[in-house]
Amino acid sequence: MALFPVKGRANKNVKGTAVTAQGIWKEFRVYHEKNQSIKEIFIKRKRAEYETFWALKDVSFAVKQGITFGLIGENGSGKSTMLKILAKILRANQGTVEIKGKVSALLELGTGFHPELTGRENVFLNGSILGLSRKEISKRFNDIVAFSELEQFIDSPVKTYSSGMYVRLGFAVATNVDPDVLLIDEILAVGDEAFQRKSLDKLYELKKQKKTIIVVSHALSSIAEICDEAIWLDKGEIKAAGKARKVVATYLREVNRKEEERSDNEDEERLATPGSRRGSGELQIKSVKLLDGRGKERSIFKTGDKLIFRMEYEAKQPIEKPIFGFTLYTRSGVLCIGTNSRIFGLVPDKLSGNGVMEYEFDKLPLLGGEYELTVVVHDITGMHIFDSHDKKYHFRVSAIDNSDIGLFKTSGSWRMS
Amino acid sequence: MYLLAHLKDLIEYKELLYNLAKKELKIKYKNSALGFFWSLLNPILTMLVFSLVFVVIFKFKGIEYYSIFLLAGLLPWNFFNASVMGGAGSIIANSSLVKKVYFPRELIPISVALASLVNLFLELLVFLVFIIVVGFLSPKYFAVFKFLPYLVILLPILFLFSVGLALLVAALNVYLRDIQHIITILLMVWFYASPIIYKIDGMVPPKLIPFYKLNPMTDIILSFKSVLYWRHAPNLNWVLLSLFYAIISFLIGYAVFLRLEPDFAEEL
Ligand SMILES: Nc1ncnc2c1ncn2[C@@H]1O[C@H](COP(=O)(O)OP(=O)(O)O)[C@@H](O)[C@H]1O
Ligand SMILES: [Mg+2]
Repeated sequence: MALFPVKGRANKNVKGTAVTAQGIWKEFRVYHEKNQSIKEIFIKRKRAEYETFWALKDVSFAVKQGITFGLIGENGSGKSTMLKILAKILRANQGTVEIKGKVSALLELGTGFHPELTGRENVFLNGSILGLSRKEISKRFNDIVAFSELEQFIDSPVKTYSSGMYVRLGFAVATNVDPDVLLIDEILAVGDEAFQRKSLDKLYELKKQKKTIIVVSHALSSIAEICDEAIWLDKGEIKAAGKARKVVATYLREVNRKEEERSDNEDEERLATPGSRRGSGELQIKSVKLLDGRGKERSIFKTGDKLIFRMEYEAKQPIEKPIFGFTLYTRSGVLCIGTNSRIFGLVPDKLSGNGVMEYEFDKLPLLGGEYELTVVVHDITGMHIFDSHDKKYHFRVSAIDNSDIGLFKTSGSWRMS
Repeated sequence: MYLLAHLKDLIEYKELLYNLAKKELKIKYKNSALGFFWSLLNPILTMLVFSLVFVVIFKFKGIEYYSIFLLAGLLPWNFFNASVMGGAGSIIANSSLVKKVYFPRELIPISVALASLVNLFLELLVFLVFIIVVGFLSPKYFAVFKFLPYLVILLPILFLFSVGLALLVAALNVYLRDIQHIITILLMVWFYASPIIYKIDGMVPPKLIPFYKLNPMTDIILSFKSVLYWRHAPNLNWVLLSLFYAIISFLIGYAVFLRLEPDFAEEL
């Protein structure tokens, strides 16, 4: 795997550098017990009992003026912490941060609003926090309200807002106050789809205006698209840095590799998940395996992979014209595929003893998601069920970047005429 | 030097300070059109209660127009009390801001004190109306107006002293949340230990008088009483001593605050 050498110090002297973080270390205390009153301290004779751990370890990077910069990484890798240090909300134990110009930040779920104030008052309060005068805020006020689509609610206290409304107003304020540097945490993870689209458009607009933007996001494809550069944080350390596309690709490869590793360990457990079983039992499905192209058992696949359902059966007595079938459901219960061997045209005259029946997807058409599998064997009429394992097997299709959305990969093609 | 650099920054944030103070006033008086009227009720009731106790029950005759005498000390005390009490809980009350946006956190307790200052001005206005009424009965009290300009010196001293203490308790309260309750009790004791409802000469046993010199509120209260009740210029020594205490309070409070401030977001 290609890793980019990034451990060195960020170069401070790059001309037009808007943001420099240099050798940032951040330690958190995880409290077992925290006494926040004099009374408790007096009784327990100590203020706190805690362990410490490093959330950021020697993180350095520089963001050039006008660049859109991404922070990616698994949950808990320190992305939000890094952003808070840039926004001066948290203090780093070591290291320095330098930012040129006015910083506007939209940290995890919303900006700093005071719950008792109305939306309007909060807009003015936030504007003045960012150093705008009353007149400057008034000038932008209509734009902010229009963008947030909160015209009707702007004079209600924000404590009555839903979290979606909160984020909409927060985003509208943060992006309309003309910041030099914009910090955004997971904005694309909240709100409805339409607003996400709108937010992304707004970010593109700011990008065009050569604002410096730093985004943290799980929506990797949108990061790869909008960001020029990125760093990948892993357990508080920079694992890769450089062009956003490359970093995202490197990251995705690692994530998929890890998932596969984990699935190797989880497979037995996953496949043994009990579901309900019914049937008369003359013919029994003894085991069901989900195999990849190399015949290896897996519980995680990718769209387009080879996938084989391998059913081992045992017929206690000779069975005439048995039909094997399966159905696939999404986690939420939507039926995706249901088919059987008769539809395919395979109807054995008689089965007895032990044997194997397989169904093979040459190219798995399912898109990313969790799926549940039911297998069944019944007679030719479908009225008599020998054995049925209802939603007993689970597998995941991992989302690949830059893919279709929905349930199935299309096999259609685009044409121009 | 470090403090001075910070103070200079604060000037750039005057718009924010204004908005924060406005917010404090709004939240204090929210949901009631008569909000300010209710806040006036506090000094008026306090005045009535003490007047009743001293004048009617104890038949105390040593102080004429006891109500004016009392208000002259009560108004600055109430400002001090509100700034310190309000300051103590202010960081926690504004945690939604502290955890999400950066601005110099000292603006929060300072804005609480500013909001209290607005209150004090309004109370002083009502007080002056009261003086005019009394003036018709006893015209010598009109002279209070002549000495009002001294407030231009006294108010900043009172403000500085109060803000210093407010900064100190605001910062400590983030770490020890029951400071607020302890402060309530301390302030009550402090109130009775200050010459607000009584005079020092003639009423305090001589043996105790030296202790009053150690009370930083003594001189500022006496100065306010000079202007608003006794109708003469405040004693220069009192003013200088108050100023000294105010500067000490401000420096210590601000220094402690700045030391603890960077970790507020983590503690909240
Ligand atoms: N205030 C805090 N106190 C203790 N631990 C924290 C605090 N904030 C974050 N952490 C921990 O620090 C690590 C990094 O968190 P965070 O920066 O939120 O990660 P990310 O945004 O990449 O998901 C996590 O393990 C998280 O539990
Ligand atoms: Mg996060």
